[in-house]
Amino acid sequence: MNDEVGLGSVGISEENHIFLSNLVQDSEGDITENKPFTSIVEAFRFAFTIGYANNKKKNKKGPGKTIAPRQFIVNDYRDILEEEAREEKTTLGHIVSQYAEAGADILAEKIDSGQLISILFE
Amino acid sequence: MKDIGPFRGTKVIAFEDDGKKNGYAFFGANGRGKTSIYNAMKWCLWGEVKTRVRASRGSKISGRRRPIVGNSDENILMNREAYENDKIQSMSVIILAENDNGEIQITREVVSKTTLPRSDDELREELTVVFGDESTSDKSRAQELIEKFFPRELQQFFFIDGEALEEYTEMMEKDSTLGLKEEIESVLRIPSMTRGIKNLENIRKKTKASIAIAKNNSKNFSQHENDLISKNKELASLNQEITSLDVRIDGIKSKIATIHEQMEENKEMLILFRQMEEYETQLSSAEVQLKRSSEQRVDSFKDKAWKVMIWKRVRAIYDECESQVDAANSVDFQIKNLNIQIKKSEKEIGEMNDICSYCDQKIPDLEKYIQKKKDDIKNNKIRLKKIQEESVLSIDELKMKIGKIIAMKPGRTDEERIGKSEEYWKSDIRKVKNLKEKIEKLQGKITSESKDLMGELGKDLGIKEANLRKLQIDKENLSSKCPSIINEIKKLELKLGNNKPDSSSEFNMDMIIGKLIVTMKDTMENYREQARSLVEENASEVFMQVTNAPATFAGIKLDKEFRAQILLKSGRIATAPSSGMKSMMTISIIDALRRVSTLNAPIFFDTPGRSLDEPHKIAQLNYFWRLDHDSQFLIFAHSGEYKIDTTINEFGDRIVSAWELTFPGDHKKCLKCNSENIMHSKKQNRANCLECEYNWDTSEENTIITEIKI
Repeated sequence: MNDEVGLGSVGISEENHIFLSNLVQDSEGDITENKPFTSIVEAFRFAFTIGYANNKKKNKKGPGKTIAPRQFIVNDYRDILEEEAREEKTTLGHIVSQYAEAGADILAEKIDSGQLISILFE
Repeated sequence: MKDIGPFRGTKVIAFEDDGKKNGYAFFGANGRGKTSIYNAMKWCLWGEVKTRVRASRGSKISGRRRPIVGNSDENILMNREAYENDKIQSMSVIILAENDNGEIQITREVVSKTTLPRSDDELREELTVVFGDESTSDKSRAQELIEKFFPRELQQFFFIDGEALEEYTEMMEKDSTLGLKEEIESVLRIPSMTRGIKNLENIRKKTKASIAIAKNNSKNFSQHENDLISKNKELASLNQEITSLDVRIDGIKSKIATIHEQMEENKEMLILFRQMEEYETQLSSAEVQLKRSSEQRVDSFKDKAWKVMIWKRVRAIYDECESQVDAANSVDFQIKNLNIQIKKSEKEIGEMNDICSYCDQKIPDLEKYIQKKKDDIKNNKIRLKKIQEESVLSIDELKMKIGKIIAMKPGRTDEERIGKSEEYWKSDIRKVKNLKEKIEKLQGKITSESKDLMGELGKDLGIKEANLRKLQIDKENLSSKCPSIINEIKKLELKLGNNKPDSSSEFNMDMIIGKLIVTMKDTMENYREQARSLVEENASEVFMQVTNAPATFAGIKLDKEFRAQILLKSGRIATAPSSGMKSMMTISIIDALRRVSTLNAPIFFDTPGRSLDEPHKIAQLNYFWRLDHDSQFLIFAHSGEYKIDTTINEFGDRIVSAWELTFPGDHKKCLKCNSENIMHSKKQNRANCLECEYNWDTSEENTIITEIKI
């Protein structure tokens, strides 16, 4: 019988946190800015899924910013990440953070190059 | 006269006047035509004969017009033989007369329009009058000339009916409610004055009506005049307001023109400015569109974009889980199957005898068969163990896992929707950025001073154009009211016309007529009183001449209503005069009225002695037939009233002419030779003169007029 993998904390590098925060709507922002998300958790979740879908993981460099565990419930992704966490002998939160870090880079690359986010679906 | 009453054919009667005597007499029994001569005169003069006026139960019953033709039961004027036998019925009377006014000839004739006229409507009447130099057949003019010669209203004082005398007397009595006022007033010409007053009153009534209309018109005129003034004021006020608006409109137009001029001076800048205004308008619209597409994009991302993304990889896990479920189901089936086989084999070994359970044949080698079954059980258990060891997750565990994974599955159209929302957003953001760039470029060309100037001019222009529009609408509203007011003014002007109603002439006329009526009424009252006094005086004079007791009586007293009483010498009133006395009173009044009327015409007295006793009869003739009496006096007497011989003997010196009226059957002498040798045949209704052999029909009722020798 396998031991249950731990949840761990979720976070992202400061640089990518800023980047993701810029993708979140605010009331005083310029209408022409690219802000498709309503919250940082939403942007973070999307970055995680990009990393996961592309099977790209990256450890954050320098200090990071945590994501509120009550808003991003790591356990929701246990079924898809547990095996991997077990193999790497780490927590689910760590795996999620790695995928989010890599995903944020990919997202930044596409946005910086003027491409639509939906291009990532292809 | 021709064919009137009992007079068949043409009869001529001459009332010659020798200037000395004035008496004329007709004698005849009943029905011999005395009254017919009297009626012929009246008919010729006035075209009608009426039955007597009668007093009945306190009412005066006016005479009824007698027909000229008609049924046998009617008392017609035309000679009945002529009416019944002549082919063309006719009746005529000619009067030739003379008085102070001149000579007159009156010819009145009726001729039938049909074979047998049933009523007077079927007769044609012709009237010809020659009076002085004038001759006319125009009926109304001819009648006018006759009336001038002999007024109709005076007829009862010249055509006196003895039969009616008693009724006249009754009417004249003091206590009578009827009186003879009307008749007496007619002699006094009062009816004509009354008619004159009535005519004036009618004219006054019309004048008053005209005044009322004029007043009303004047009132309406004033009302219309006030309305017109009011409307003109209203129109003037409107025009003033419109003029004021025009001034303001012109001022604003002038200012707008100045602004345009200023803008024209900065024409190039104006183009850029207009261009920028256009871009700004487009940008505003594009920004609205971008905001909308941004919101749609955010909405499409929310809870969907991460699922689309994660599903790219999770889908494989999901599919794997599904495969594992299928595999687990298969293993489950194999396990169950193996367990059944094991149990069956174990049961078979326990219950084994030497008969095969499949073929019911005796088993040749039972031990060998049991060993084989045991081997099958062993092999199946090994296989079962192996399968159970190979399976990782149970079906339930797999289903729970699938349940969690499927929560990450996106909607069927989510990906497409996100893609489109992104495209729209991208397109809109491009538009906005493009417009911003254009505006930025233009802003670089427009100086801030000129921008401010153009902004101010544009703002000012906008305000002024809005003001102009408002004033123009106000002007249109005011102008739209003008036509109806002008129309009303025209209508009022038409109603007013050119002249203001002036009723002053009607007022003057009314005043004059009013005064005239009062004067006439006063005059009439004075005249009536004078006339009453005169009639009373004359009647008293006549009465004293005809009464047989001049020592007892003083005369006649007439009150204001012309009711008469006999006055005694003592000054009192005779309380119970005899009927003869009363008749004489009546005759006196009638003659007095005749005298007062001043009309010089013959007096025709039908049945004059009817209600008189012998002394009064004589007194009556003594009075009327006298040498100094100024009028011809004709009596139409029944032989019972006045005997021919006695009358001729008594009054022969006063009589001009006298006639006897008889039917042929009345004659005892020959009509031709006057012989008394006559033979009458009552059976044959004929009489034969034995002297001259002349014979005649004694049943004929056609009157013979025979002049009596005086």
